[in-house]
Amino acid sequence: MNTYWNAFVTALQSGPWEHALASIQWIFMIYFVAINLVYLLLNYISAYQIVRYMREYRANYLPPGLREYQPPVSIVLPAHNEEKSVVASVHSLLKTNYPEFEIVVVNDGSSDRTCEALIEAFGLVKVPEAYRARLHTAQVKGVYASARYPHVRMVDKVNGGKSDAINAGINCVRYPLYCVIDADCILQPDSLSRAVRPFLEDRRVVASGGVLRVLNGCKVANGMLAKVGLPDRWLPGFQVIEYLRAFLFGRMGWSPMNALLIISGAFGVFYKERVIAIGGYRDDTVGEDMDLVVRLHRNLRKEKRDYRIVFVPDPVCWTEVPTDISSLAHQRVRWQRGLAESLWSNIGLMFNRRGGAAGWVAFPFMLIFEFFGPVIEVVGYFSMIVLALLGLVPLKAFLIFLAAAVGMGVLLSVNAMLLEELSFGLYARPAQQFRLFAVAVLENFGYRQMISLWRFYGTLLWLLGLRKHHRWGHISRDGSWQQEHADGEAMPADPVADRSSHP
Amino acid sequence: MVWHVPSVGGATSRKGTKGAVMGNPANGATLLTVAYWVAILTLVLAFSLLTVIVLMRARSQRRELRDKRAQRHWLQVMQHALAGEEVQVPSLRRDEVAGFIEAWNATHETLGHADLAPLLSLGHHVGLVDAARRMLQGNYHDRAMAIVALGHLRDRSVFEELVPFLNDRSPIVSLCAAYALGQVDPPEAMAMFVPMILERDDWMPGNVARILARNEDGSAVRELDNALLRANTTTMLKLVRFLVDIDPQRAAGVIRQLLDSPVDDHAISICLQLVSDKQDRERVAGFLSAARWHVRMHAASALGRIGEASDSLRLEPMLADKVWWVRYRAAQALLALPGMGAAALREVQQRQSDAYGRDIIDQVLSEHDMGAAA
Repeated sequence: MNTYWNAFVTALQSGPWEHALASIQWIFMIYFVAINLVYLLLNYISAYQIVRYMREYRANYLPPGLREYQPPVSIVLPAHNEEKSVVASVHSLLKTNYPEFEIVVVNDGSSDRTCEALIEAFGLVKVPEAYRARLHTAQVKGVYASARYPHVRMVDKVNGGKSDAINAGINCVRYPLYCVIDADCILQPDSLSRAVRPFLEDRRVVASGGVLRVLNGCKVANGMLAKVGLPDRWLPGFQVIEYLRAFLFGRMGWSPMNALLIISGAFGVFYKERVIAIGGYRDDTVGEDMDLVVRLHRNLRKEKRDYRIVFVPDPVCWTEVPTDISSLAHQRVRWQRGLAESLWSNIGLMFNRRGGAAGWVAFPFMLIFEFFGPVIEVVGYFSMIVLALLGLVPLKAFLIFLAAAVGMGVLLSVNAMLLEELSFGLYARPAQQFRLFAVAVLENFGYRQMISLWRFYGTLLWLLGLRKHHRWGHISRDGSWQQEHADGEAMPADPVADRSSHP
Repeated sequence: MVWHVPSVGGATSRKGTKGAVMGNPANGATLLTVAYWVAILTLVLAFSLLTVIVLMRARSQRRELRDKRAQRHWLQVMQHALAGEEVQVPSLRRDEVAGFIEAWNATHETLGHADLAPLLSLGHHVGLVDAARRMLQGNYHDRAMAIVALGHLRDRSVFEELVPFLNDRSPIVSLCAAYALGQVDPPEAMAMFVPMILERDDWMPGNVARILARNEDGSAVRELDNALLRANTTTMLKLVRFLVDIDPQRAAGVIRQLLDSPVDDHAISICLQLVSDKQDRERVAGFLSAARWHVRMHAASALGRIGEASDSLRLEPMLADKVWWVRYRAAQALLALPGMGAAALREVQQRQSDAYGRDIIDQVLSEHDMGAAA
């Protein structure tokens, strides 16, 4: 065996393709340096932004503004087979302190009791709404309203996917601004007013997004976030630091250049007419949220409009992240395909004469680092391993490269932690900071590579055109926040996640 | 291939038997040296940042605790003072100032029209003026808190000191200054503040309206009036919105003037949303046949607010408008007219030959039923 192996290695060592592998190492290195420099740059931009923002809004220095000056907002809540959580979500939304709002729940042909649960909980009755199909959607079966809850309505429609459901909701809303929210998210009472604030300060704003945070490990009481905490388990823990990085500078950094290309589907406020003007959400993509924002940029730029798509650093929306490997894998593969679809179908924005920072900076960045990134990373890791196995890279060199990669990763994560501390300081105990740091170090040994692999796979799926019709990205969440007695109760053990999340 | 491990990495190890595949052996070495230093620097930086974070956390926790304690203490003292009790207090210690000002501002926000005298004398007694003056030089948070606190003190001697902050680049600090000045010397303050409303697009209208609403001596109305005399259509629209809140009578006059002058449809729409005077019925009805749908829609809504029973004849044809929103608002307006109820609207529905008109009445009536039960 050993002799065969040696012969095999010798044969490989004499092969000409070794040059190719080595030059891939160079590409990998350049990519590594470039991506980290760009992230550091984004980090500084957003640090400046966040510090400035926090100065103004850290405390309520002024008595609250007159409520009549807040524009009314329609909340669109698309739901598909959410019988367990949808009622709690609506109750949670009703607790917002926003002056004038309505909630439009869209039941997208659920096969479970979503529709019945809503009807029972809110005393909904079918009303003769003069429904207008400004955006084309699957057939709407009826509109329901409630006498007890005048702010709540439900649109019952034939299944057509998430985009289709949101479009039906948009057809039905009464107010010029709408806010789209995932059925499994938890908001804070002031989330809406924070996300609407940019619209009041600047008339050019057409869309605004806010920071998503990880709900796992937090305490929820009466549908509202009661106490911020960190998840006990590693897998959601890794995602906490990932979300911090992604939102605090992956998104915030782009906002001042007006080059923000993603507003998460889980929480965003939009001008209805602008969205209708570009035909609403596309239902042939799994990344409808990103696609919408990129398309907004493309169309508004084409029309030479002076517009702003902005991001507020406030943590406005808390979402439960997957706690098991297969759900997480599914989610990331889906995200990557969504990214690929959104980018390629709007490729006209890139290097467009009128593309601005969105077309000349953010779009190429997304394409190189987010779309091709996982491919380069996976090939890089793979070739490094092959070179090491072949004995072409001494262990020492291998370790140095690894240390550099880990160091860069940790530095970026700690920067995100610093931003969080400077702004909101939500993870208040020093013990929590140490825990976050440990997570930031450990995620480099296994978790990040795993994510890259899934994204690589997502890119492949997209390339091969394997477009299965996944119209609802369902993730099994344990829904522990919905159990009021969550206090002190351990989360259900999940052997798969436990085993593989320990690197 | 040869990977030259740099000497900084300790012993140089050479492995591999072949020539350098990286082209130049020095290339591989450079790469490694760079990687080595990147690793060292980033890890050192990361650890020092972590230390900074933990230190910052500890410091802010300590401060929070200190301020909370001072705040609790002074809140109690202020409640006692307000209750008319004699309170003996020493002047403020430095570490109490932040907590005191928090308590001071919070107490004033909840006061309403209570007798302020004991509270003001408490403020003077503990040396709030000097403490707040020092804070005006401090960081952003301290500055905003101190400006608001000095406003509550209503001490004319600080007026001139607060004026420069009215021009602060930050919308929050400048609004805080406007709010404070408005309490110290209302006529002077409004004379400065109102003309600035037109220049500052970053002031949130709700906050501006709140500051104007707090003005009680009529100087806000006077200054708005003055500004309106010099205003063009665009600035008029912005100002009249605020005037509606504090003096509907005068605002009605300005709106009338705007509606009668040749202004664009957008301005007409805004005016129609603000109309609330029954005198303007005919004027509003004139816009029911406007070319732009949003003008028709706002005219219908306005007529619902100020109309008479006889206006139903004007609104009925709007039920067949080609735009959904016009039909919807027309149906709502019909229902809101005096003398019109659900039953009367049903009769109107019977008369409609247009299916869209009948549908929209169904919807509006069902909304009415729902709302009535709520």
